[in-house]
Amino acid sequence: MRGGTSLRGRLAATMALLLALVLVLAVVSATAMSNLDRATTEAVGSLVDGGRLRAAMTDAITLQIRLADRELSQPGPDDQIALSALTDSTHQLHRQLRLLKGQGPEDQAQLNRISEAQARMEVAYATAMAWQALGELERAAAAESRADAEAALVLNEVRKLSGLQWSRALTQADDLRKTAARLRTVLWALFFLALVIGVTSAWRTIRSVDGPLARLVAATQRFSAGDLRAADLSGMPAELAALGSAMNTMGGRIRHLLAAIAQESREIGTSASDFSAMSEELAATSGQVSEAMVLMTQAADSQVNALREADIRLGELRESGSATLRAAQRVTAVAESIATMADDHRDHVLAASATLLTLRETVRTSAIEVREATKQADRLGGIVERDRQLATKLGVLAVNTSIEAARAGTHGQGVAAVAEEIRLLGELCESVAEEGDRAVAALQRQVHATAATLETGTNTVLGIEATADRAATALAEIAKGIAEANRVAGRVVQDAAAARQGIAAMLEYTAAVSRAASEHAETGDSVSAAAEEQAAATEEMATAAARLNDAAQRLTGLLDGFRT
Amino acid sequence: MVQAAQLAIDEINAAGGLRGRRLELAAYDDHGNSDSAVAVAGTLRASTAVAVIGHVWSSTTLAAAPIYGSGQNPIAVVTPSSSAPELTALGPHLFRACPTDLEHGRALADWAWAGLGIQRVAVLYFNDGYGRGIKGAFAATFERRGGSIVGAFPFLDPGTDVAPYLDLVARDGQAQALVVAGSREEARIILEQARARGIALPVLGGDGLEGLEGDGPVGEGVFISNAWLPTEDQPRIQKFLSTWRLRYPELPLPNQPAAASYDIVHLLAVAIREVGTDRQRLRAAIAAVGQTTASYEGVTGTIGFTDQGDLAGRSVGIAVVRGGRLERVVIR
Repeated sequence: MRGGTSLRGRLAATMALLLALVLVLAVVSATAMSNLDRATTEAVGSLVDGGRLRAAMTDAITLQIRLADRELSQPGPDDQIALSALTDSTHQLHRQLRLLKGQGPEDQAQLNRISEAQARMEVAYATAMAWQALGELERAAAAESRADAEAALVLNEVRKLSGLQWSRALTQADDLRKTAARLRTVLWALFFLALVIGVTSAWRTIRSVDGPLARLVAATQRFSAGDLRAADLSGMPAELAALGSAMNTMGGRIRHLLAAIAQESREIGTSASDFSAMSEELAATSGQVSEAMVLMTQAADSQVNALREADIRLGELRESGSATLRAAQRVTAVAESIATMADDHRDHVLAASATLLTLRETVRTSAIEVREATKQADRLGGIVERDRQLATKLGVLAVNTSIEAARAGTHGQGVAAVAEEIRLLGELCESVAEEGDRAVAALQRQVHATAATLETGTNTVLGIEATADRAATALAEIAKGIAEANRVAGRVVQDAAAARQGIAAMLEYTAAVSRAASEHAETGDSVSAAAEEQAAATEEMATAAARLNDAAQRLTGLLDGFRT
Repeated sequence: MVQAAQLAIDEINAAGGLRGRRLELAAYDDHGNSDSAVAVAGTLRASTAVAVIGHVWSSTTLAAAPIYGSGQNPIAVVTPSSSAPELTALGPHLFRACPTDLEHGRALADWAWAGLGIQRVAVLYFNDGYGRGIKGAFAATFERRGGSIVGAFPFLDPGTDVAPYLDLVARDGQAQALVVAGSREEARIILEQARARGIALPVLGGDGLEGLEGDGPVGEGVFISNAWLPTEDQPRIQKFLSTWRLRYPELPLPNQPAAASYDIVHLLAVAIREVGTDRQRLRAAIAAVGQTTASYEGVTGTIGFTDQGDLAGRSVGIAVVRGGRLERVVIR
């Protein structure tokens, strides 16, 4: 915000200053008066109390002296009691004098002297009375004389105390007078200071308001005459500056408003022209809309018919899906029975395989034994061969022996008989060899035949075993395939169910589209009717646009009267 | 008294002092004289002292107390032994750590009447606040019980003043006992004069007679009221006495003013720790002891102050001089 210190602030500061001055004046005055009053009260009170106590003490001591003198001249118990009570009373007065306010060391020292003198006086009187009671009159008189002297001293000290305290009271009174004079001077000074400050502040405040206010009035008058230019607010108090600023703000907003209205009126005129042209175009296009609506209605009817056809096809598709579903269910059932059967036969095949394994082991053992028999037959062939060699050698021996027997002649008859026997033995050996040879050959043939049979059996068993393994593997593959078939069949069932649901949804959709197409056709009819009504309204709009254009031209003429 | 206060200060400083500062003792002698006491009070009030322990005698305390309590920055004073009733309520800055003469006088009267069966006594009293206090308190209690005071004799110089009094007592023969309200020295002179006159009456006296047991046979049999004795068998007292013996082997055992001075230093230390050394705050802290703050447990017993500055709830006992020692006959 432009401008100087606020008017309220200036007034408040001036008032606060004046109030502070008045408050200071009041506080200083009250405090000073209170202090003065208290000091005066204390001084007067101390003076009064001191005077009263000193008077009482003087009286008490005087009475003490009188009673003591009477006791000495006319002893009696009553005076002793009174004297004792009076002594206590005097000491109480002495204590009260010590406690008076404003006592200085001099007063206390003076009180000490009084107390000591009083104590000596009392002792002197007491000893005088004692001596008198003892009949020692001279000593009693001497003591009484000392007592009288102490009594005079006590009274004199009390008077000194009075003088001391009166002197201090005069000093205090003089101090009070000086204090009061100082106070009066200070209060007058404060009063004049407050007056000067108050008048100065008021003059400054008035001057700070008068000029800016006149400027503001002139600006307001100019504003009322239609001159909406901003007023100069420099140097104004905050409140006037705020008022002027508000006026400037209002003028600015009015200027903006007028400019906006002029702009709007121009735009309204332009828009009215456009509006008129557009209404004519609208009237022209409404006929085309009607025609388009008719075509659209016809297309909607065709769409309805096509959708009905689609509905029928979808019904068929739904039936087909149902059949697929049932087939898939049957496939699933068959696959499950095959799987069950494969599981059963797989056990049988496994048992047969085990049996074949046992058989293979038996055949293998028999082959080993046959191979052993073949070896034995071969060895037997060797033996036959050696028997044949023996028969050959026996024949040679028999010939040689016959030759020798022949040489020997008659002497050789025995040898000829031996040669004969040897020849027979050779023949026997030969026949044995031949029989053995035949037996060995027959045995080898038999053994070889058995070995061949065993080889064939072993191979057969191995073949059967491989076949059994393949059968088990095949059965496992069948079971796996059936499981896969089952899974696929389940998927087919699910797909078939999903297809059925999709078909059902599509049926509903086609029904909805069909209904929408029907409604569309009906709406097309309605739009056609509305287009006709729109054509009529467009003519009315053209008339209104002409009137709006006239109003905008009049508004522009009115705004020309403002100076912005 | 000075030695006891110094002992306490050394203990406090050895333990770290107060708020990081050392405590110092400034000792002044008032010579038992009222004028000197006034001068000392003026000096101390203008000094940087934070509190005063003293004075010993009631008369000096009576003279000095108004000085301590006056001016722009009055200072608190705690007396260890001024027992005169006149000091009660003498001002908000005066406190005492000893029972008043009212307690001493009452204890002596009770013992004379009930303990000794005495019905008539003569009282010789030093004519100051202390002597008059003992005399007045004794007379009040004794007469209330039915006894009578056959003579009340003031003295200042016992060497010259008490002769006619003792002659009267001896001549009349009414008194069954003598009550001496004064100091140990004065009592000794009076007893010597009394014995010289053949007066063999029982003698009773206030705590001012403490120490008479060291004056030989003249003090034998004298009954003395006391607020504290160094013979009491309490751990706190025994510890204090052993410390005392170690520190001051050449001195006799401390008396009540010394023990009370020791206690006052520690009590002031507690208050300074709490509120600092500002005189007015310190005075308020002392006044609160036993009122709004806890009492102080010292070697002389529990210390707490009444709203008039007196020691609260402390009674006195009676001891007798026997064989050069004080023996307790009435437990306080």
